[in-house]
Amino acid sequence: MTNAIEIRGLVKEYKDFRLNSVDLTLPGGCILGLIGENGAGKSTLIKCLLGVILKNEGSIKILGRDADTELADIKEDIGVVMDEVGIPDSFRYKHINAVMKNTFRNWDEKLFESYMDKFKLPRDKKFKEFSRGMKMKMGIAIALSHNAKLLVLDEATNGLDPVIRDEVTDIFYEFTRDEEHSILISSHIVSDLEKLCDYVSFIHKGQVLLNEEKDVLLEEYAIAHTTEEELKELDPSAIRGRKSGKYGVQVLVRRDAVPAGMNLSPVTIEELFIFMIKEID
Amino acid sequence: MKGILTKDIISLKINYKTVLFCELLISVLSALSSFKKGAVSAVIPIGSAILAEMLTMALFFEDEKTGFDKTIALFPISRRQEVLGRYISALLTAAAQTVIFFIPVTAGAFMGGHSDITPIISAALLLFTICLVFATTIYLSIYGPGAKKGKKVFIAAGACIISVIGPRSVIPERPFFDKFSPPTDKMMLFTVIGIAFTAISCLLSAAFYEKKDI
Repeated sequence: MTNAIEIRGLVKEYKDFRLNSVDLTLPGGCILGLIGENGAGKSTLIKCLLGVILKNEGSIKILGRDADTELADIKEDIGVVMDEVGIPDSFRYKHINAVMKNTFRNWDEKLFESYMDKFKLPRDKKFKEFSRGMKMKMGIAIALSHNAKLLVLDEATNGLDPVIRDEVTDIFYEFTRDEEHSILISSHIVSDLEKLCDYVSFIHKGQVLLNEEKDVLLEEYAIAHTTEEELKELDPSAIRGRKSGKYGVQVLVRRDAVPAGMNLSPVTIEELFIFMIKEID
Repeated sequence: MKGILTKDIISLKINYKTVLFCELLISVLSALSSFKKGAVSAVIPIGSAILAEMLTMALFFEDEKTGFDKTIALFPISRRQEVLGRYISALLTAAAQTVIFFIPVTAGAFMGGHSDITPIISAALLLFTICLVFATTIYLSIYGPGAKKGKKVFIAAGACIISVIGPRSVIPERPFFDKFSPPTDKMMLFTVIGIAFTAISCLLSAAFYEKKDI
């Protein structure tokens, strides 16, 4: 199966920030969570992917096609939801439908209508009268209504209440039931992504720290509860991060590199991320 | 591109009914003037052009205010097509404005028994050219290098002034409020220059925009 996204050596430079030789792969039919703190470079990476900002170096392939030469065509197959949905304030459902019908070749009016019903969005209200949650649901409805093969969601669920986030997560699961459909979702709310994603990628200060299958990561790493003395006996290459507390030391370790019988507990993706960042900083 | 044009047409229908009504009112008053004199004063095409310029500006700045310009960046069109869409929208606005002016004024002239409509053709060409030059100037400055958001209002105001002063400079010595009839061949030349300037501006804007971060 073709990879949905392949990024190699991506560089984007600003005065005070640099996206530094990023490699990223989203296998077809999967959901990749792009995790990073505020200012890590998630949105910059996504904007480079979509051609909203111009990269300095590197190559990008989307759905097996070169984004440098075919991006306009590729966008027919990409549904995008950014953190703010930009629609004219006075537009209603019928106006949005008319614009999108004349924009996307595969725009499906009936599907858009069904998402309006599913999300319980009003058809006669102006867009400016929608709440934040309703605006995001409208953005998601638009992204899903032109038979896209790839969904790109940049902080799209931030600021939504838990009920709506749960609704929206179910819809994304449904979307990837078709093996030709993939999702790239970015957020700094790791717990959201932990439930949803097959693959995770950590980004920190413009650098991708890892890009790996979620289940493999959870199998590979664990948290060891230990003391300073016991810590000295551990192989340094097994340690990926540490946190000292009142009752001892918590260490992020590779399971296969620690002695048998060591007190290990499962790690969450959020903990994995925090440990790795603290170790680097 | 069609999506951008659809959005502009819908926006015009929803938000700018008052402006469109004013334009129709001006057309009717102009028709009364042409009924009486067989021509209109220079104020009419220039005033109509300024109304059209306001519409062009308003449509563009609405996109910035609502974030629709960022949505357009996600549409399946190239940056060149996006720029071309804007210029076509401006051209259609100019053409529509010219028609709204020309038809009632010509009808008024014929009903008043004035068979020579060359002054009206000149006035229509003046109106059309002012609209084009305005849109051209503003889009070139917006898509060109160095245009920052805060300066765009001043750029728009500057474009408005240039687009009116430019054509006015080819009008021969004549009281401003008298009937407007510069040599039609001079106005036609000016219109051709305006169209060529628009085409060059479109190409330059597209070239600049391809190299910019949105």
